[in-house]
Amino acid sequence: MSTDVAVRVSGLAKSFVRETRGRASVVPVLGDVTFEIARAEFVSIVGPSGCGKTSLLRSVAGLLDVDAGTIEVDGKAVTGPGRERAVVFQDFALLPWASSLDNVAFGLKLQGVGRAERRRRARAALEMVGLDGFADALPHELSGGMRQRVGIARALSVDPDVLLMDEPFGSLDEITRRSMQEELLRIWERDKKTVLFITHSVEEALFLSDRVLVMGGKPGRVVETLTPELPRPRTRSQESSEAFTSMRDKIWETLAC
Amino acid sequence: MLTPGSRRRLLPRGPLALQALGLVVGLALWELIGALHLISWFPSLHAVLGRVGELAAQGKLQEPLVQSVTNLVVGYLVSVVAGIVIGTLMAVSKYVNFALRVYVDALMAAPSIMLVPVLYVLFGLSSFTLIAVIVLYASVFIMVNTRNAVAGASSALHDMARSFGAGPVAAFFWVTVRSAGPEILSGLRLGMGRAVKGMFNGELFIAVFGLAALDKSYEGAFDTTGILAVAVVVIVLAVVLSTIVEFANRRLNGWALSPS
Ligand SMILES: Nc1ncnc2c1ncn2[C@@H]1O[C@H](COP(=O)(O)OP(=O)(O)O)[C@@H](O)[C@H]1O
Ligand SMILES: [Mg+2]
Repeated sequence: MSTDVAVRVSGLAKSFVRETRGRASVVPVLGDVTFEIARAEFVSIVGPSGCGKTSLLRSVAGLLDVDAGTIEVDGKAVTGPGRERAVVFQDFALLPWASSLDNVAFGLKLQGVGRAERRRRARAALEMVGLDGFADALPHELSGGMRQRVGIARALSVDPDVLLMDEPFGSLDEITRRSMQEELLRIWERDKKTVLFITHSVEEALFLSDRVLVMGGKPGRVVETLTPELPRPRTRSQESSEAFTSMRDKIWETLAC
Repeated sequence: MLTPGSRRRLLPRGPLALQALGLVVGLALWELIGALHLISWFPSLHAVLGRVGELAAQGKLQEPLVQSVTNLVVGYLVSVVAGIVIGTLMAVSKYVNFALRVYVDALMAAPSIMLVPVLYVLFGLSSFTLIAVIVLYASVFIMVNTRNAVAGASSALHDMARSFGAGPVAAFFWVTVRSAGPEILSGLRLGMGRAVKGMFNGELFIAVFGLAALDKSYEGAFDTTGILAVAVVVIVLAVVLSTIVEFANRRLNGWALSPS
């Protein structure tokens, strides 16, 4: 039973100390966040900006210490970053001085993989995201969509169990964004990783996910859980289906209050 | 923009041609004004260059030049190390920043030459004083640029490196400081110009060392050709040294110089 759970977050709370004009005040950002993600499940979290989505993801990534509550990944308590998790960042977080190949290989390098092996795996990952011809290009020579493909390839190359994605398509234009969503699903269908996907787009969450958690309130917590039971592989025509639109309206209602 | 493996040029072509043209026109004007005796005391370019050659042939240039350049290199290297280390500490620790900010701000704003007599009293008539003056001139600019660069570096890259297993210290040095590279290097470039200024001002004050001593000897005799000959040497020196720093910058930070 418990082996089916990949990520378990319970009672998570986090406050930040904010200093304004020399005066420190405590701002609660997350209050009692609890949810589970099953293995190979694609779960999205939607919520307005500032409700603590990034803080939640950074906590699960082991990049942020929490004040209360527990996080377990693969049954082990999270105390810091770990190899079974890989993060895809909103602003790509590519090393500006390194080629696509070196950027993808960076994670493998930090994990001590030898040069030949990491180049081989980085090439394979670049191919998977459709960037085989751009191994030598620097980030500034790539479009936004291509940069995030590098970011996704870097996360996939270390072969994590859980993929943590923080608004990965948030800074892309609508057209690129939609094709990246389809691309992500195509990759995900191949070897179903557990995905925690953060977005502020309701449509994106519904199109991609098995389950959508709606975050809101101050401090932020999960206020609603929805299960878009749309058959996979997903198609764009599903976006006009009754199931999709009614769930979208329901989420909008939740977010409005 | 999307061509894979496109080569990056080390130097921009167009601006370089314009720079060369500007230089040639300026030098031609100088020669013309001098040769036509438009200003009675103003020597022509070839007279000044002739004097530089003469000085070199007589061996009068070599010793002061070696003295000055040695002090400059030592002073600059000390400034680079001190500037980067202290600047980084100021960026990382607000306590260090608070403690040192007063001095840094004062040194940035006040004319550094005020402090030359103090150093002279402290260290006496030695190259140590001259090196200290160079450090005084150059290190503050390197420090401030380093502090701002490191403090402003993307925390997203640090997070990224941490998420893939880099320790906090490794992530700081190999990602945060590295990404601050271009701005640190621009401090190094500023610092080089300041170091040359510090070198000459220090020597002028003491007036028995290096190129400035040579300059002083002509000043007494109202020998404008001699003064300008030394000036040409100092300017060429400054340009050569800045070019070396700039070249290092292009090698290390080419990624930041192309438009994003
Ligand atoms: N390191 C931090 N220090 C202080 N406040 C922070 C920090 N990180 C986030 N916050 C604050 O916490 C709140 C939630 O931020 P975030 O988790 O980024 O939300 P979201 O990703 O949903 O937009 C914001 O008000 C933000 O200013
Ligand atoms: Mg966010």
